[in-house]
Formats: sequence, structure tokens, C-alpha cells
Amino acid sequence: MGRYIVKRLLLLIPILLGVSAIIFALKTVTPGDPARQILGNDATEEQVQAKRDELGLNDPVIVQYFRYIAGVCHGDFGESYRTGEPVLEELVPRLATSAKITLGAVAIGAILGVLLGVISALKKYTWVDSLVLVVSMFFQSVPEFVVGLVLIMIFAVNLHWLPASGIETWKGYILPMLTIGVSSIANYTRITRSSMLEVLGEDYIRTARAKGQTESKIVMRHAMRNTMIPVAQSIGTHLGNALGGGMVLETVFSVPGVGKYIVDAITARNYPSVLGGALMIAIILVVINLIVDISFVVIDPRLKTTIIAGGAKKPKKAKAA
Amino acid sequence: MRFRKIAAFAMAATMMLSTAVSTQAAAVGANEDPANTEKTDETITIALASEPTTLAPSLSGTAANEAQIVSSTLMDTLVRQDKVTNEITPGLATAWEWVDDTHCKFTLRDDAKCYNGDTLTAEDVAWCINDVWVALNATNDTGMFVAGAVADDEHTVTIEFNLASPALLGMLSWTNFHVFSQADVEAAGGMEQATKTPFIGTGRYRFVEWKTTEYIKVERNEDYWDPDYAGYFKEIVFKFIGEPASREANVESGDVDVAADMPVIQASAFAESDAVKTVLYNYGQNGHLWYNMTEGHPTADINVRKAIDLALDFDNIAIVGTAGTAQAATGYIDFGSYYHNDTYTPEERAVDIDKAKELLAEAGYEDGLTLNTTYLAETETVHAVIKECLRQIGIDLVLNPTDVPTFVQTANSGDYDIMIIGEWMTDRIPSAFPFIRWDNIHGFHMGGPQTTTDELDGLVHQFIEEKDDETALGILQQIEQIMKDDCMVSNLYPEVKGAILNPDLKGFTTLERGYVCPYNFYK
Repeated sequence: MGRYIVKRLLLLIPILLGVSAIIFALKTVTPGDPARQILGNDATEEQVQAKRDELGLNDPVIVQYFRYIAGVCHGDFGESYRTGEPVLEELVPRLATSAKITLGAVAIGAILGVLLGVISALKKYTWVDSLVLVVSMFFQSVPEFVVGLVLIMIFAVNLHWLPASGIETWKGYILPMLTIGVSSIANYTRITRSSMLEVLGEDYIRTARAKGQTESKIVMRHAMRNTMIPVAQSIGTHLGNALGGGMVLETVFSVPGVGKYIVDAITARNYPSVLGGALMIAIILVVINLIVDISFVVIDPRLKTTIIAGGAKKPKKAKAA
Repeated sequence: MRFRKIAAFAMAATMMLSTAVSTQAAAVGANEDPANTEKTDETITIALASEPTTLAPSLSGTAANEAQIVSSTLMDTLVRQDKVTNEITPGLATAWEWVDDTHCKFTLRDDAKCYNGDTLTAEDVAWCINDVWVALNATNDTGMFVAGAVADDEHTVTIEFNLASPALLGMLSWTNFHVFSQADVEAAGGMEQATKTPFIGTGRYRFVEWKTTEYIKVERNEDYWDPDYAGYFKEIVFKFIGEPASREANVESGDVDVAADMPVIQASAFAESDAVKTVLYNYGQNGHLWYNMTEGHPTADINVRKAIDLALDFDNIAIVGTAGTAQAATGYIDFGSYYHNDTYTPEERAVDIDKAKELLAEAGYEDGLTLNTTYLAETETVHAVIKECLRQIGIDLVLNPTDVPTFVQTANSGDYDIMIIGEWMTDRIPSAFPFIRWDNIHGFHMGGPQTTTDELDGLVHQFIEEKDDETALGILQQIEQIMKDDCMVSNLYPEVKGAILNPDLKGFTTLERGYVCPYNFYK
């Protein structure tokens, strides 16, 4: 297991090199001069060039790239062009904010999605099943941006229950969490439903029924554990997507998270901040995936052989204990 | 057919948005409201479109919308200027007198207190002008026209300008010409730190806290020197909400009292709402379509420029660009300015497709041509109408919507055929006509329209320096006539800004360039 974790962590190196290389490549083709952004429209061309020299922007891209990578290896993600503060120092509190929202959103999505998926599976081919699928698919197909604004209109503008933006109090976290959460309900519902239907058809479930166990006990005690394996995998994926994809929503809700930080940095051509934010998200995604893989082994120790022997490959489902 | 559809849409928009016209009228009235007269313990929250990069623009050698808005609460200027009449009134200076064409002596009031409680002296003012305005702002307005200052005695300071112009006094009322003391700056941690924690200034409010990415908080200065100003709100909180729809929703929900810098199309959609108060206001800036006259661009040919001018449906462009609140421009300068000239008659503004096609054929483009333009997303609809107008004469306009940094770079590089950029001029300003003067000292260093002549450049300087307003108006007429004859630019419409307010809020006023003034609101 230890070797597997080390192997997966070593995979971080090519991933981070790839992410940083792509962003550096984009930087070279994106119009808009960071030096001009810093100095303003009134600056002369000489001043702009001097600033470019100071920032090292006149060096060949490959030199800039390896200089940056060398810094990252020493924990130096550069300094924000905008504030002059170390990017890492700026990122840490924002990551904490984004993490809170992401975890809350995933919890909302997973709890509601699993609940609806179980109901849907138990009431298969009835109007309840159809209603659950239609409602959850609706939330998945509407863009999060629109869901966010609609929730603002309902809960902030009309009901005045929650603030429309900001996170000065705990109430400020609810709408961003809800927006990201409801958009993922369909995913969890679908996975839970199909997984639950499959598990409910297994021999050991029939045996349990034959023994006279109540349906609720069968579902909760026997079916649920195996149903949760693909759901857990999906949670891992959703965690990463929610963290990386929260940029637009953090802007809509004016949440000082890492997503808004990157969006603001892109607008200002603040490349150290863009790079730092993107690399940090990449690191977190890789670590989350690793944790998810390890969690499979914890849920079902027999998967240890499969996962570790087969790398990141995971089985569709596990046999009942 | 497609053009007729756009025209029909524009007409429908005019009808729907007719309420917005009355809103604008109300806004002009609101601008005339006196400042508030009582103090409360309430807080006003103002949503800005983005977070400022500095809270002391002159110390950072820059000027940006949000920084100007916030810093206007903290610091004062030597003089003030009425935004409607352009009259210069006392600020930190109670009187002023021109010693000669380039030297002006200011008598300071003796009751303006710096942040540390000390009285602001002539030494403080001279230091700020020499070590901040001039030393740190050599390439922008703040330092470009000022040579230096000398403290004559404790309450008198003489400023030396490097050009002679009656417009200089009005310029000193702009927020980037704030005055503060060296002692305050040093106590705040030095020049760089003071841009982040500006415990400086003699202003109506005092800096409290800047929580990056969340808010900036300022608190009423209870010892403010101006007896005519009360400061209704005890605290002003600035929040940063980038998404306009979200800014508006925050006002509706009551979380925010003012949503500043709203795109006019979005703001006008709330003109009839009872839940919010919509303010659409003209701030003295006309939008102009500039032609890139650099060799190699089709628009270097005057026939192409004239053909485009004849193809443009100025009325519909103005309707779309101002949400139906203003008519098409008839001159380079805004209608509300003393310096406005009706350079074009209504007949000259009429669309003439046949004549435009003839001119294009004369230029050798009888089979049509392709042009490109770069613009900010907020003018998307205007550019859609322009594209359709040009399609009528066989010009395919390639639209490149972009963000501010790319827009600036494109303007600087001259990598465009046509481009809309506005110019603000309610009064004469020293940096007027940046694109048709050789020194091109202010604003975009446009790669294209910078093409000018000695004659034009000379007239611009005469216009700026002329002492007599009426003579200056005559000079301006000559400039505009040359620009018209050479079709250097097509004047489009007076640009309109929008703001959404809590309906109970009164006292909407603006700073220069239409920035929302944050300190005059009351209920």
C-alpha cells in the first residue's frame, strides 16, 4: 500500500509539469500585457518595457517556465503582480473557503442524491421513479450560473432568508453550497439507483428476504454498503469538479475562494496567481483521487489486490461480504 | 431582412425603455440634491464591479475607477468643481490667484485636520505635490501638467504648471489630485503601505479596514472641516461583486444599497421596478468610432471611411448603445458641455447606402471587403448593429469581443480597422483630444488614429491654452471641421452609465468621469 501511495504521489510530477506547461503556453498566446496592466494605460512604452524586464517577461518562455518550476520546487509560487504578496499566502485562506463550500456542496448533493436514488430504485418504474429522475435531470441540465441566480432571487430577494453574496456569516455559505450541490444530485441519483437495483437482484439479498428480514433492514444493512462503492467513487470525482469548477459561482456569489481568485487573476493578467491557483487545484485533485482509491480498500479490503495491482483501475462493484 | 429585424428590435427597445428616459431625467435632478444634513449610525453598502488595486491612486502612480471612488471618501482636493455648472468652489484651499500664466497661489484653510490630528499646512501640500504627484505620476494627468510647488508660508502654497491653461483649476478637483501629509504617509508605514492601509488624508471618512477580496470599510470623520457636510452614514462598506446581475440582486435583497457601474442594458431592465431605483446617467463622454488611418489598412482610404460613415444608422446605434436614453451625437463633444458643437446636420447623419457603395467602388472595393474591430463585451449589441449596417454595403466586419487588457493592447498596437473609444470632456481638460496630438500624453496610445497633422496638433494646444471660452469654442469648431472633412472619426452617441439603488436612498451624485460618488447618499 505504501509503495502504491508513493507511486501515485510521484504521478503528481508529470501532471503538475503538464498543467504548468499548458498555462505557460496559454500565457504566450493570450493578448494583454501584464506590465501594462500593472502600470496603467498612461505608462510609456519605456516604462512598460522596464516593468517587463523587472518581471522577467522579456526572457524566453522556456527560461521563464523553468525558473517558475524551480521556485515551485522550493515552495515559492511567485508573487502576485497585483498585491506583491506571495501567491501561496494568498491562496491558503482562499482554499479553505473553497474547501468549505465544496465539502458542503458535495454533502448536499450526495445525501439528497443517494436518498432520491434509493427511493427511485425501491419504487422502480412507478411515477415516483419518473418524477425523481425528471427533477434531478432538470437540475443537472440547467447551468449552475442560472441555478445560482434563481436561488438568489428566491432566498435572498424574495424571502430575505439568506444573503445574496459574501460569506460574512455562516448563512453566506448556504446558497453557493446549495447551487453546486443540487446540480450534482442527478449524478448521484442515477448511480445510486442503478447500483441499488443491481445489488437488490443479488442472491444474498434474496437470502435475506427468505430469512424474513424487513425490507428496510435489507436495504440499510445489506444493500447499502455495496451500493455506496460507485457512489464513493463519484464523490471523489465531484469533489474535484466542484473545487475546480466553482470559479463562476464564486464570482456570482462574490465568495473569496480560489475560483474567484483565479478569475480575477486572469482578468488582470496576473499570471503568477493564475498558475499558483491552477497548480494548487491540480495537486488537490490528484490527492483527492488518491484518497478515494484508498477509501475503496477501506470500504472493501478485498479490493486491495485489484487496486494496487491494477493501478487506478477500480471494479464496477464488489461482491457482498 | 435581417437589418429590418434589428431596426424593429431597436424600435421596440425604444418603446420598452421609454421609462428609462424619465429615469435619466430623475438622475439629473438627483445630481442637484444638496448633500445630506444629518448624521445617523447607519451603514451604507456599495457594491463595486471589482476590487481596487490601491486605495491611494496618486501614491501608486495610477488611477482606476474603483480606487477613485473609495479614495474620494478619505482624501480631499484643493478645489471642487460643480459637475453641472463647472464652477470651481473652495476645497482645502479657500482662495486662489493666478500669479502669471503658469503659477497659481492657493490659500489653505486653517481647520483641515490630517489623519494624525495635525493641521494641514502649505509644507504638507508642497510635499504631496512634489514628492507624490510629480515624482510618482510623470506619465499621467496627476503629474504630467504640474512642475512643482513651493510653500510660501504656513497657509499659502504656489503651484507651478508646465503649461498655461484655464482648464488646470478644474483638473485639480479630480480625485487623483488628492492632498495628504508626509507625516500621515510615514505613520501609515510609508508610501507603498499607505496604498493598502491609507490612514491618511483630511477626508469626510477615515479608513478602517480592507479585507482583501471581501470589503473595504471607512468610518465618518467626526472632525471633518466642512460645516456644510454632515455625513449621513456612519460607515461606508464597499463590497466587490463582479457579476452585474448579482450586484443588482444584492440591492433587491437589501444586502447592498448601491450597485455601481451597471451595464446600461441591464440597469434599464429595472427602470420600472418598485424594488429598486434605477439611475441611468450621461456623464459627458461621447463614444466615437475611430478609423485606423495607418498605411495598409483599408480605412486609410478616405472613401472607405466616408462609405462607412454613410452606412451607419446613427439613430439606431444610439438607441441600442444608450438603452433609448439619448439621441445620436451630432458633434465630437457631449451635448451637455459648453464646448458642444453641432458639427453634423440631421441630413448629414442620414443613411445613404447607394452613395456609400459608390465610394467603396471608387476605393476599389466594389466586391466588398473585410474589416475587423475589437471591443468590450458590454458594447456587443452596438457592434451587432454596426456589423449589420456595414453588411448593407458589402463590408464584412469581423467582431472580436474581449476583456480590458486585450482591448488596451489592441488599441496600443493599432491591430484593428475600426474601434469604438469614448472621450470624456464636460469642460476643457489639459489632456483633450489624445488621439490627434503628437505628444499623445493621456489615455490609450492608439496605434491607428494617432495619425494627425501639425495643423490639428497646433489647434488642440490652442484650444487647451486659450483663456477666452468663446474663442476656445471657435478653435474647437475648426478642429471638428477638419476631423469631419477628413472623416477621421464617426461620432456615435453620449455614453450612459447605470446604477441601481435602494429605493429609499437619495443624494445620488457623481465624481468626475461619472464615477459614483459614495459620500453624498442619505435617506
